[in-house]
Amino acid sequence: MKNYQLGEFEEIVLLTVGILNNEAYSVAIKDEIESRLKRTVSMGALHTALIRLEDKGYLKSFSGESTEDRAGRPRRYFEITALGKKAMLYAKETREQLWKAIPKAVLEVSLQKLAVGSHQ
Amino acid sequence: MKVPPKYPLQFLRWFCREDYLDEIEGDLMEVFIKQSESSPRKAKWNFGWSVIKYFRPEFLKPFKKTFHPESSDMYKNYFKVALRNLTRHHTFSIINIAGLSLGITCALFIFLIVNYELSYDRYHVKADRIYRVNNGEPGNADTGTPHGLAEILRSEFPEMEDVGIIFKLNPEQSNIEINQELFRENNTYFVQPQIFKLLDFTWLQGKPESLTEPHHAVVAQSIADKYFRGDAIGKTLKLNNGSDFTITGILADPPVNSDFPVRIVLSYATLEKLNQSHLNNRLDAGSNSYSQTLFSLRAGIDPQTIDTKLRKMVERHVAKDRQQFVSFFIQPISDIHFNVGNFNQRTIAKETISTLQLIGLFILVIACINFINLASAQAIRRAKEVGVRKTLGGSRNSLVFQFLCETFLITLTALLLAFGVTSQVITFSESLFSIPLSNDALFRMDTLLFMGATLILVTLLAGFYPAFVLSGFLPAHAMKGAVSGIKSLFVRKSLITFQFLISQVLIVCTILVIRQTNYFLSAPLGFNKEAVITFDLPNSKATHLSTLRNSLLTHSEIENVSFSLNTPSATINTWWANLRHESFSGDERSAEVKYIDSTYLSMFEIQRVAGTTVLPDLTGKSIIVNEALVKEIGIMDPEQAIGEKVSYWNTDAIIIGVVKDFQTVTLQEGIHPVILTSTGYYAKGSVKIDMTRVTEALSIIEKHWKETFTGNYFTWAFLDDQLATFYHEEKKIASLLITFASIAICIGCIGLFGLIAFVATQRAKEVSIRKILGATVAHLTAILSGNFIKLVLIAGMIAWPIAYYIMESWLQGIANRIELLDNAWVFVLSLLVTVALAIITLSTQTIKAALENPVKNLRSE
Repeated sequence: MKNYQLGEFEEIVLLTVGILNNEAYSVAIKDEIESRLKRTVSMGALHTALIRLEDKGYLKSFSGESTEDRAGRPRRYFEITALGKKAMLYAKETREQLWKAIPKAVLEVSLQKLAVGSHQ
Repeated sequence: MKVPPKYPLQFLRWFCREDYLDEIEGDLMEVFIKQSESSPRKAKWNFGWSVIKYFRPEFLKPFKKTFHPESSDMYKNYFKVALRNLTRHHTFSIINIAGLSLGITCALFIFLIVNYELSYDRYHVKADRIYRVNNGEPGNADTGTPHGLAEILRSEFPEMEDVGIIFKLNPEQSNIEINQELFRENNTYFVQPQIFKLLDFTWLQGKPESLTEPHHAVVAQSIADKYFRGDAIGKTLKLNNGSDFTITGILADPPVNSDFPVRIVLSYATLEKLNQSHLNNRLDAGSNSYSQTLFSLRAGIDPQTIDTKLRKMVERHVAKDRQQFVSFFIQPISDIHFNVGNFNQRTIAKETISTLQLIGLFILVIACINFINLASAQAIRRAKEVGVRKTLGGSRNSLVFQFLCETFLITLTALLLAFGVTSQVITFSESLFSIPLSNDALFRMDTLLFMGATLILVTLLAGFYPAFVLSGFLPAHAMKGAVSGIKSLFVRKSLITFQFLISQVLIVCTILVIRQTNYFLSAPLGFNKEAVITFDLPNSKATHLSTLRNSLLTHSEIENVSFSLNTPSATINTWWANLRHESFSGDERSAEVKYIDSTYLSMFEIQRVAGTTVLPDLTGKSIIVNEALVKEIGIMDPEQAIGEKVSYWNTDAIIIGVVKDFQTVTLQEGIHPVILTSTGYYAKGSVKIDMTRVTEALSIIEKHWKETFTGNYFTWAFLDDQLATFYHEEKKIASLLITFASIAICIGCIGLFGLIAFVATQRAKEVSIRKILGATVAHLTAILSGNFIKLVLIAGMIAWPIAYYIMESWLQGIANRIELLDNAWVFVLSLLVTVALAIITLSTQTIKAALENPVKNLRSE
């Protein structure tokens, strides 16, 4: 089985591209992540992730129309490739497998603790 | 308008990779514009901060320099494309380079030869103001001047800095004895010390002033090393078994390009002391061609004025009635190499030099034409490239420049090759053309300059037309492959015709020069030259001569013996006298005087016409003359001339016999009036031998000669061999012509080969289809080569009148010449040879093309 390398931030970016579907370009992705996950995203970091994902073949890009609000620069839109989709599924499956493998007791304790904590 | 902060943006643009820059800038701008609506300051601050965060390895420009189009890149591309083309069509490249380098080699070689011949006596510091005084008029001059002239010049011409006499001894008078060793040194001179102020010689030991004393000598280092092991000062040498000379100095051997190649210098004062008969102080006295007067003009004096002053000098010093026969004129020293009468014996006519230069130029042009033909024929192959370049914005000028660059590259390769070849073959020039060239000449500044000029000239000459054709293609046609070479066909045909025109002119001229030279060697001379051995006579004492004659005649190998001043044809000891006869009415003509003995006429089989052939005494008052002299004094019938009174020099003589004309000088000149008489003075012995026993005869002659003239140097020669040496110059021209004509034809054939190879591949399909439809191999070959043969024939037709004109003007000055109309076959032969060579060259390709299996060419479309 092929090994899909996918970092945490990369996974988030990949997922966001999926969410935005056809409208995914750098600033939109940044805004989406920031609004959904309540965390700031630096343009540089996002860009690096996008480049890496494209290098790995999980994303492909095409340049769109140039617009006034970008001082004439074209947008670059991203799209998830088939490989990218497989990688996302793989990541999801491995997580689920790991979730399933955790003994119930472990989860309960911590859940109880969480519950206790939340009651306070 | 919201403007992002300037410096962060500049910073970003400076470090960021270009392929990301657009996107990043766009993103930052979008964010910036959005933020600045709420808070411009925060937006600016954010912009800067984001830029800084972009400053990470992924976004940095690569440290390796990225591609920046510069002007040099285009040159690199030209160079690369040129190299690819050269290697892809390597056959054509080899043909091109071979043809060009052959042409350049020729041109370089001719340059070196011409440069060498022109370098004679240019090395003297005062070379541009040293002159020789000649006797007579330009065109009919004697290089020798009377002994007294130098003294008059010194006292009456303040504009002359130094005046000196240099007198070369005839070979038979140049016998030297050192330490009982006898040898002949052909470069023995009597010299006045002033000569050393004029001409540059390097004195290794001693001073020129020592030559003011009689019986002093100076020798060249080669002589000093050979005979004295370098220690020559104070030693003695003996001249002609007579006077002794003390060696007072040593000279470095003069360079090869000197017309004063002295090896032994004797003080002229000796000659004055011994009061030799030729030392006549009168200006109207006869002179020896080898006794020459040189002078240096003071700086700033116009040489033109000297000739008129010399005229006035003659008026002052010569009796009124003799003035019309005496005149002098001056000749620059740089000019004397090109006339007979210099001491080097190696002359070359100025016309020969300019002919050589012309041949060199023509060969270079032929080589360029090869290149032009091949390049413009191949142009179709480059059409697509031209189309692409033009579509991408290449201007015509830049295309022309590109193809010139390519030509430059090829020419440079050819030039370097030519340089290498020349450095290897240069040593053969001595044996082939008797021109001593050395490798040093190749690396001199002027040679390198010449090569640079050749490089540029050939590049432009060869490259311009193909570049012009190629750059003229219309891109749309070129890309479709619809370009045809039809437009340039006419030019190409004319160029081929021109090439073969030059080749054929050269061939015709070469054959005719060879024919003329052979004619010189075989023409009837009016006397017998076979089986005659000649030798020098150190003195003409009657006792010596009769002893020698009698002892020689006792042997059956010796058929006849004769003593004379010189042989019937001769270049040495040709004595000219002023001839007077009542029919001239006070005027003077010139006649050659030959001293002979009683057996001379019978031995050389000179025919009697009238009167007697027996000279009664040794007074010189009874003379036998030739038919030319009889005509000169206006008498038609030789019988009538008998008893006629003439005077020569100051002798009144009576004609007692007339002989048939015979050749007394070289065959370039005609027959002159000749006086044959006897005074008892002889310088040459001639012996007719039995040719079946040559070795015996030779040892007999040597034995008796040495017995008679003890202590003298013996040397002998066959008369016919000696006569052949008169035509060295013609032989040299012939051998140069043979070499360059064959090279010219060779280059022409190389070009033809390249062109037919190209045409054969171009027309491969046509040939195949014709073959399928039943054409024979012979027919196909004819179709392919027919056009070219036609061109060669046309070239021949044009070449004939040109060659005729050139040869006619060359032969004009020659008295005994071949007639061009008798040699019409030479013209036809040259055409046939050229056609044959062209057919052979063409057939290598045409037959191959015709024999090829049609399937091969028609299989794919």
